[in-house]
Order: sequence, then structure tokens, then C-alpha cells
Amino acid sequence: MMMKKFWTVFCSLALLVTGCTTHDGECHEEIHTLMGVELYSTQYNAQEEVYKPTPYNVHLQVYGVGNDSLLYSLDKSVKEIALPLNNFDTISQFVIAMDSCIGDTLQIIHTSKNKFVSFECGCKFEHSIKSYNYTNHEIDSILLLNPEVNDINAKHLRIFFRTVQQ
Amino acid sequence: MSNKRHFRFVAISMLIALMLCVTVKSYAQEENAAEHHKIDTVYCGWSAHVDIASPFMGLIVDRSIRTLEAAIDVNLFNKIFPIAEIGYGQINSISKGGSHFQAAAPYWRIGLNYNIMRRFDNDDKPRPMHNYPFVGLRYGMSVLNYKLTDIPVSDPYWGGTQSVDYTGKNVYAGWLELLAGVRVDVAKGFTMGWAIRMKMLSHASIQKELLWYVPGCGRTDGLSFSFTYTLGFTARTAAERKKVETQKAKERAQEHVTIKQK
Repeated sequence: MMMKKFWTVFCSLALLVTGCTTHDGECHEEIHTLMGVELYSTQYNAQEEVYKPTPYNVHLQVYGVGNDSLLYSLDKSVKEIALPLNNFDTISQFVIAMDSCIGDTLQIIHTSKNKFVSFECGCKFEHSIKSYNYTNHEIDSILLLNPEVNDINAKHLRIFFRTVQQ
Repeated sequence: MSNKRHFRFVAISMLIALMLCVTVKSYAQEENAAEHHKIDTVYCGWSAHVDIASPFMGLIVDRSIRTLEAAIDVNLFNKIFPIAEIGYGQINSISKGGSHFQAAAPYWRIGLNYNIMRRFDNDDKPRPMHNYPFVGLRYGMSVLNYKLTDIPVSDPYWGGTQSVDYTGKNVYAGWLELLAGVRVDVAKGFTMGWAIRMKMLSHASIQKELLWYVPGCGRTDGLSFSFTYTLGFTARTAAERKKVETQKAKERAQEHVTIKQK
């Protein structure tokens, strides 16, 4: 009787755990990293006579310099964007254009290193932002929040667009 | 050795010590319950077995993996079976993404099996212990050379592809196993058994993910399971053989009486 119980429990547990650890040979992890960018505007509040940074919901066109593929189009407004840094170069440049304006160029200087994730997924690239440059047509300033780019969820830069006076 | 490794080593040691304590304690409790007049010898025999399931599975199920292993254990009190296992495994596998993993290494495990059958019946008579179910614990270790090559890396937006290789020599990995199985007498000292094993990589001298497969342990991403089917020889002490034969004779006599009564 005891033996029957033992084997029933053991086999049930074995089946349960086996079912939970089935390997299908596919990659189920996110291996791409993106630089998260928050969009802000610095609005001047005349009554309080202070500049207040506030999240900015804006229509943007974003693409990499030398790359035809649009990362963001003007179709819909965004409050934040995620930009892919170049895995095989130390400089990544993006054009960020508001509406049909001339746009600004954002240059990120970074290092890249690959990190092994798993046999199925291979490697992912992690980047470290060393410095950044930008033009000032629409962008007022940029704040570096986190220089280490190693996933797709974190925010690394905050772009402040030119002041809108209230 | 880093503090983290120290901690893992201490944790594993404590776990094994705890399991041994539990084993000894439950054994002592059983002895108390069964009382006094059973004076047993500590050493009851030894056995040596070869696993025939692993090479068979390598030929039939997954040709990229080849394993061969053998074990030797000592029978103490017919209850506790300290065991040492040694084997050799090799793997040559390619992932769907094109990565190539190769490793070949010997491995060894130490641990014990615990016979979960009561050794004495309700009349305090020793039961024959030729067939018994058991649970067990193992600590395994392997020192391996591995090659993880042709790992494709690409940049989907900016373009470009490369391949990355990792290789290592004399890398060590340790793992823990919980198992349950049975051991059965076949004929004249020849025995067979099978066991289901649940394994988990405990520590490695490099990033664990690089050791996708460790000979003796299997896949290292989470729990892995394996099945062993062993054939071998069991040598019992003269006292043990006599004890079991006496018991068998009594059982035969009892059966004879029962048949007559019917």
C-alpha cells in the first residue's frame, strides 16, 4: 500500500515537472537590446515663472543615418521611443524629425560587447553609452539617465524639446 | 574562489549532510520501533552494475549524445547503500539557430540509496531484501573540455553578421540528483534495476549558460530527467545469504501449511 502511494506520488511529480521543463529547441528569450528614450518638453509657466519639464506626446519621424528603414513614422504620436544601437560600430546616428521639420541628428558614441544567452538563442549585444551629441533645431537638451543598454525596457536618455510658452 | 562559490559549496555540503542526518535518523527510529532482538551486521554485501539504458537511448533517441556508466555500491544494514558511479559522456549537437556544441568528459557521482521497504515484518522477522525500492541522492561532478562554436550574431537594423566561438578546457561543473528506483534479483547474484533521476546543475567554474550540456548531468537549463536501467552482480555476505534462505524456507513451509489447510 505504501509502495503504491510512493510510486503514484513520484510518477505524478515526475510527469508534472517534465511537462514544465519541456525543451522545444526554440529561443524564448529577448536577445535584442534597445536604447530607451523619453520625450519631454520644458514648458514655461508664466504664472509661476518657472520651467517645468513634462512628458511630451509628439509625432516623430525617426531613422538611422545611412539607413532607409523608418523606426518611427509620423502616423502616430509617441511619448517614448526605443532606438537600436549599432552592434558592429561604436557610433550610432539617428535623425529625429518633428512633423515635416528638418529634424535633429542624435549621435551616440558607445561600446558594444556580446553576451552569451543560451544555446538556442545565441548571443545578445550590450552597449555602454560613452557620450552623445545632437543638433539643436528642435531639441533643447538631453539628459543621460542610464549609460548601460542591456535590455529593452529601461530608459537611458531623456530628450527635452524646445520650450513651449503657456 | 569567490565568496559566491564558497557559499554554494557550503550550501551543497549542508544539504548532503542534512539528507544523511535525515536518513540516519529515520533509520534509528525504525530500529527503535522494531526493538531489540534484531542484531544485524553492518556490512551485508556489495554490488556492481552497468547502465544499459544510456547507450541504448543514445543509439535510438538522440544520436548526438553518447553515455556509458557503471556503479558500485555497498550494502549497509540492508538499508543504506553508499554508492559511487563513474561514466563517460560525449555530445555533438547543433541548435536550430546553427550554434554547435561539443563536449566530451568523464564524470563521477557519489551519494547513497535508501531502501524504503521495512526490513522486518510485523512479527519482527527479517524480510528478504532481494527486491527493494529506493530513493537516493547524488552529487555529481565532471571536468570537461567544450566547444561552443558558430553562434550567429547579427544586427537586424544596421545590418551585419558575425559568428562567435567559446571554448574551454578543464572546466568543472557540479550537480545534484534526486532519484527513485527499484533493485530486483534476477538469478544467482545477478541483479537488475531501474531509476528515474531528477538533476539540477549546482555550480560551474564558468558562466553556466555556456555549459549547455554536461556529461552525466544532461541539459543544464533547469531541471533535467534521465532514466537508468542497470544490470550487474550483487555479492552478499554468507550471513546475509543464510538469513534470507532461512526466511525463504519459512515462507515456503508456511505456504505448504496454508495449502494443506485449504
